[in-house]
Amino acid sequence: MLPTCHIESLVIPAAELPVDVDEVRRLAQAGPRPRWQAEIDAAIDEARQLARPQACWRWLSDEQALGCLVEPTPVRDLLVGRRRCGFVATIGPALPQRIQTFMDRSDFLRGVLLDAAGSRLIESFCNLLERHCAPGGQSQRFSPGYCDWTLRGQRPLFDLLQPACIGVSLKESMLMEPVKTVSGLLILGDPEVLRVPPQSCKECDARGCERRAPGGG
Amino acid sequence: MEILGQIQQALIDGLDDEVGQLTRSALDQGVAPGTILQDGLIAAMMVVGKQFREYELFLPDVLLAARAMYAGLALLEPLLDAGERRGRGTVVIGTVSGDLHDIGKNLVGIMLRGAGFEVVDLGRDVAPETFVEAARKHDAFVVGMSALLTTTMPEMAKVVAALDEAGLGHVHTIVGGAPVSPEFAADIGADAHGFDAARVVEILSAWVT
Repeated sequence: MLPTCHIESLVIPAAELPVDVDEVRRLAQAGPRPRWQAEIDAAIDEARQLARPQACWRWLSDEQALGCLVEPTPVRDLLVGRRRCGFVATIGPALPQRIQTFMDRSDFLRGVLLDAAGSRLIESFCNLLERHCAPGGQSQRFSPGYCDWTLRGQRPLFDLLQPACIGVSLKESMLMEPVKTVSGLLILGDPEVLRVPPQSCKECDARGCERRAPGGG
Repeated sequence: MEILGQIQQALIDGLDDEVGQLTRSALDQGVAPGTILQDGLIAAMMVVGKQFREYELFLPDVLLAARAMYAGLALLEPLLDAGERRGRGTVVIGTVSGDLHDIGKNLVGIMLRGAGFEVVDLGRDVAPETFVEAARKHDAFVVGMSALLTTTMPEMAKVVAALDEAGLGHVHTIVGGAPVSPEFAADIGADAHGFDAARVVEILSAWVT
């Protein structure tokens, strides 16, 4: 049972969250199927057993939402004239603790696979939260740290959401604990329109970049 | 020595129990601990790193091999002299302040240990002054920084500057993480950009030779 706070909350069993197995495989750099499939499946099962998905969210006024941005960011233009809510979603501390236990005892494989499974699980939970807040599926999420949105935006977001009620705290460095936690703004609207244009390789000066797209200029 | 070849193969295959047993056998046969380390464990991890880079092995294979390496290393470490234990030099690594993404950094640490470096892993969300303190305390010859967020990349520049200000400008610096480029590394005065863990091992190996 969640403590009551002035915001809305969502808590669901982790077993109900879909997990993209191929994405777990990609994150764990496990190569093509079928190698490591049993280990990946086991990690996903374990992640589901350990995860306690909880989220809190609230609709924000223009002033509140803009206050969370702190500095100019491309996200600002997307906020204007649209409904948006702030949110914090977590899968709890047990899963990150288990990852650390594996790494401490040099069981790197299980640690990395569980980490990958946990990352997909929190992402899946955020997708579910998004559908919960925007039933039509027309929305886009943005988080501090991405799209030039400064991490300092965490502070006003936390002031508005008070996510201590779901066990999430903010460190001085603006990192959240537990680590498998996502915060941000959910903006309602056409997801294709609600995009910060990615910096394409053609726009980038890093000519020697090894990730440069073929023909990237 | 045949036993060293067996250790290498068992390590490449990720068989930690077997590596432990073979390491004990090698010690019983009178093979010097430093030789087992260099010509058995480290030699095998170099093969693993190369095969990982060439997509013959994938990350889970590397992680099992690393665990096998640690099984052998645990037996050897008490027997190594100070110089051997220190290996090829001490490297301080960490994910910079404000950033929690540490899988890549962890892999770098695992691979560097496998290549015979002493690694001091400061974890995630590491402040510049913590990098400096650790570099001084452990007499590190390299500080490695990781970041996954474009918004935390500037922290790397702070670490490079803080090392300079602390009189540790001679300590090599290497930066890595998805958004980090060689150009960015050069811009902030870092000595190198580590594209991936295998590349980091290559760069540091070149620095010590």
